[in-house]
Amino acid sequence: MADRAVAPRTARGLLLAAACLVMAAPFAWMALTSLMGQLEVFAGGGLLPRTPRWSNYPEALTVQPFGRYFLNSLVFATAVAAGQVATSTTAGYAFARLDFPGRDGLFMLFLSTMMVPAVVVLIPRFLMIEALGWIDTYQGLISTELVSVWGIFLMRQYFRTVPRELEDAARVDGAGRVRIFWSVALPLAKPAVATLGLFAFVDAWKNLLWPLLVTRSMEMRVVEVGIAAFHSTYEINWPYQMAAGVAAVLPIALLFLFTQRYFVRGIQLEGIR
Amino acid sequence: MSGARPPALAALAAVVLAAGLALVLAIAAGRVQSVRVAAAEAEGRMAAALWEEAGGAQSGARAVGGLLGERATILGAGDGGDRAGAYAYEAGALDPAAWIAVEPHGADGLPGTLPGGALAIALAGAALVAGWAARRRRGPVSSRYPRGIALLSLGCVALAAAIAGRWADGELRSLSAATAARGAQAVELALAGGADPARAARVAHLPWAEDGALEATSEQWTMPAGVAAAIAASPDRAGQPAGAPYTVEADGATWHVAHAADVHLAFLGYERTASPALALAAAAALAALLVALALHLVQLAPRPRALRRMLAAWGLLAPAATLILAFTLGPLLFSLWISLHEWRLIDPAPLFLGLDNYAALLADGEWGSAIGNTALFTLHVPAAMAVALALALLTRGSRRAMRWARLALFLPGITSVAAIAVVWKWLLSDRYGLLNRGLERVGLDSVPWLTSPDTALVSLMMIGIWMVVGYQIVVFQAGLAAIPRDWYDAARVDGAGPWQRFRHVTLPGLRHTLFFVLVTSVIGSFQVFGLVYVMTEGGPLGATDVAVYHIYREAWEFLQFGNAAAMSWMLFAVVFAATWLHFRFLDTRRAHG
Amino acid sequence: MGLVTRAPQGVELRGVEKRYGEVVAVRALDLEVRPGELVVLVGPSGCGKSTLLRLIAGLIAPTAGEVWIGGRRVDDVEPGARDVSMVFQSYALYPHMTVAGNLGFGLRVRGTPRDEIERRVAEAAAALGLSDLLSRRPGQLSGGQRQRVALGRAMVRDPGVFLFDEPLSNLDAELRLRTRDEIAALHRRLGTTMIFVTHDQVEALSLGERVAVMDRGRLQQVGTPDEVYRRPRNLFVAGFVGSPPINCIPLARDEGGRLVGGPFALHAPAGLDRATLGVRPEDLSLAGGGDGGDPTGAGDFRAAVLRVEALGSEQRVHLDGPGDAAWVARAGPSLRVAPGDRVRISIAWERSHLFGPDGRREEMAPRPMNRPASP
Repeated sequence: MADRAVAPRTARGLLLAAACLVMAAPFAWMALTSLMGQLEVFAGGGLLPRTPRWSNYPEALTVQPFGRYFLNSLVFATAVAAGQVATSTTAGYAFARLDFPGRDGLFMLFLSTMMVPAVVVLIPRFLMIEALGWIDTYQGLISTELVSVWGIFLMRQYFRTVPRELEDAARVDGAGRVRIFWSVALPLAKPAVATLGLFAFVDAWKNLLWPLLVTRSMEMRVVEVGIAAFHSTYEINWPYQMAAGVAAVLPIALLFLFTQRYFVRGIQLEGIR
Repeated sequence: MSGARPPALAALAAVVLAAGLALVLAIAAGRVQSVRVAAAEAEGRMAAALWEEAGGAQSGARAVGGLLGERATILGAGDGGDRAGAYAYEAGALDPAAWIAVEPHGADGLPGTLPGGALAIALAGAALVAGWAARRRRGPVSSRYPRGIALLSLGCVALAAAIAGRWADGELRSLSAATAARGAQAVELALAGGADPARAARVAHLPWAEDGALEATSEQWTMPAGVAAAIAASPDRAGQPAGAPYTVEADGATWHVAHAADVHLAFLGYERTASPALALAAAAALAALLVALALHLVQLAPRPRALRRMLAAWGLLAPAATLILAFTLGPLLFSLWISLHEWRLIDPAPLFLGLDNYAALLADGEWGSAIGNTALFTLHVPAAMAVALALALLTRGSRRAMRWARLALFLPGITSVAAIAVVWKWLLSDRYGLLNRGLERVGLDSVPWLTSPDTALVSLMMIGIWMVVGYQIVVFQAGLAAIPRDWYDAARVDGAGPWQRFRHVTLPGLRHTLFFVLVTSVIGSFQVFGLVYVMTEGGPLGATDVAVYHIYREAWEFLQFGNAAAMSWMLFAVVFAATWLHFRFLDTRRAHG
Repeated sequence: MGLVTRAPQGVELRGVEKRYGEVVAVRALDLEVRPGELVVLVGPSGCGKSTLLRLIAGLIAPTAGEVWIGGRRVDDVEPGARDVSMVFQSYALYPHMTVAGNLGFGLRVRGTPRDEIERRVAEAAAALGLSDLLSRRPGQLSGGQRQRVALGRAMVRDPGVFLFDEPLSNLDAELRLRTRDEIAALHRRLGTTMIFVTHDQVEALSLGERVAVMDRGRLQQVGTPDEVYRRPRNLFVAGFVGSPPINCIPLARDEGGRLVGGPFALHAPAGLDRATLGVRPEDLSLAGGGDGGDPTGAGDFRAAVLRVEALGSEQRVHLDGPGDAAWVARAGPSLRVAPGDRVRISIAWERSHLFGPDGRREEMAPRPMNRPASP
């Protein structure tokens, strides 16, 4: 906006459209292939399926129990999102608004764990989950993912913007710290909670490595592992794989469509802080 | 309000105690339960082997019944229910002849006395704290009193840990002995069924036990030399009737041994496995926490408001702090510990190596090339940032259009990595992929995108750019929008051209954003896994073998956990150094400018 | 109207001190507020008056000293249990609750039965004219309405003490006057103890039964508005209270044992080497024009008029004098002077003040000598 001379409006629009096209093309091809016949894809014909073969979907999604995979992914991602919201809001509030000895040191300690690549704690986490006998269970899948330092940071920043007088007023009204958190601070932090929950959900949904390690049976697989396993079993049946892929992408795309302002807000919070 | 204090304190004490006890009990119960299931699996495999040995469904079923009695259920192939078990195959046939489901030994969970006792301890602790608080309300109380309570709570948890540990050890010992005995019995049955001793031995060779899990290593397994020697030297050996287990000490563990005819079966005992150490470590961490908490309470007791504030703070922090302690900080140290050992999942006891793993990795060419590949792959980050910055600048201000473009821009970054990997593999497929078909259509040679060592990594980098660029555009646009318009006007008034405005206004204004995106993207890129796992499996010829994938295989394919942990720490060091250098670079830039 | 059910509570501070590290916000302060009294804490920004209010409310804890409310020591009592309610400068209304929710929050926290909450909220809303706004949220209210909701929230709980932290500073001038009157009326009606913090001395004088003037963490003077105005304990109080501010000129003892400064020569009380003369603008009377003749009364002086502010009911005359000072005189609307005129000014000495070098006011009023200071 500041530099109007950079590009005229239409050129900007065209450029953006081109960029979008490049971004969307693989998804389009995924959708198109998912409607082709198994041999058709190797025949090298046109880009469009000759006759849309919708039955690819029910077939692909039932040769492996994708319904179960989706259920698992949903349980996993929802639990992780709920858990991260719970732990991040409580801890973020304590860091933002409560005075206690060692607060800043503890916060720095938490923050410093953001530098640790996940793979470093992967092995010990796996061994712990195994020692607990939680391999191939929901609690094994979920328990390690329930806290997010990024989430704590986000919530702390947000709670710091809640006016202090508001909390003073609540204290004079007779509310204790926990009550203030629950009745005053938390309702005001709804946008941040939404952002955090969505990011946690999406990150859990696309987590491949951890579910790959802690699930063994088909009944416990999540979609992400399911797609990977499907790929190694039905290596050259591209239409089936693409149908499964579309099914995996679609929920996230829809979620994004309906909640995009929270995504954008989260990304912007990340970028300019 | 002050009247509510003693019950609140008591409740807190009860919760802390109960949580500690629950943790200790859960660890013990989890350990026992997993071994129960594994033992039942092992028995299932014996039974299956026996079935196959017996030849024929009727005699097979009889043999299985003789071995396991009521605890074995023979089902049709397919449905295993909740029980552990194994498939039995008819000789030469591919389809399983039967599914042998085995009910695990013993009851589920803990004996009733344990949780009951733990609850009683917790209640007693709470009552003590309540009593203290009530006395404190009436007047000053010696500060030794709460300290005594803290020590008592500590003692309670330690006691519970010891009891639970003894119980678990006892359970595991008897499971180990029972499994050894069952193995000997299986051999007897096989011999009775007419198998020759070598084949009969195969029946019992199947399972063997180790820490926490009975892992089948099937026919490849041979008894460790140390164990064989210990059995040979054991004075118990001569007098033992067949099938009655006895113990020998070997390789730093206790083994349960039973023999049938001339076949000796050894099972690892549980007295000296790693799990009690784990339980103890957990109890110790909890104890430290309790002591810190108790001392705090003592300090704050004369100031009820400060005390309440502290309780609220800790109450709110507890969930996150516990989880971070348990699943990040604890594992971090644990991982360091593992990296100093030869730690293979199937070994009885990890062997301490010191820094040998690290020394070996420094000379390991494959690991070196994995690090090199990761570094190369990371080069896609600056490339993506350049593209994203250009696009963000060129589309600056098109807000309404952006609203529509966002889905397309974001989707690659937020959606299923496996699905993305699969569709790109299809797009880049050598003969039928859309890209090569397009190239051939316009008369160019097709490119072996993923099948040549020269191009595979570059292909992955392209996909990497495609995945992050949309997200980066949005971040950069946010950063650009935050640059005050006045700066541009001022620069224009000063006669700055577009390049100079970019150089002296836009870039400095975006510095934090650029830095943030660079650091997070680099850290993310060092951890790339999904693309490689699904698309190339590190190939061809190791050209796309990146660090995390390498670690994954080292640990979960070759079961070299110690080595893999050392690798992960080296990767951590590299990431840390990279971030630190960035910070230093930024600091000096700031100091000079 | 049924709102008053409880006896008002007294507030007492004994040696209260608040430090933030090296910084002392409030130092060794004693203050007693009687039940049912309206006391205004006034002082320049940063003088510690808001800190003091927050100490009373319990939002912060004193470093030393004791806080008593209603005969009970409350240092260790949470704000919500102190039987006080507070109106904040920003009103601090909960943005996510309706007006009714805001009014009832304090009762809900205490577990008051629902129908009683409803009854009391309705009563308070009726008393403040908020009945039609109960389902709105604070974002949909005007500044004055928000102010009244904040007031209502404080009233609903029927506290023993009301605390006000500059509640009028966010209102425009007209609304501020009206709300000031409303609070005064409220105090008369409820008879509750009220402690009101403001930096505006006019507000303080007009509202307070007693006024407590603070500066740099210390209580400078506590008294009725009249006492504070007429008999300021020190130079700070004299300078802070009153608009336009009191006129001052420094004096020093000369070899003749007189206190001299500018055109003045005063009798020096024993032991006073340096002093400051303070005269309120309304205690200067201007005799119209005329260059000729000496001042007639003892201590009269002449000065040129710099500027005249005609405010309708009065005029403010800015003078180039006495001496190096620039005084302001308050005159009736009928006086005719113009910039450049030289006027003769006489001082109401019996109402003027002499302040010692430590700023304390001398009990004796200044007395001019008959002879002019300089030949």
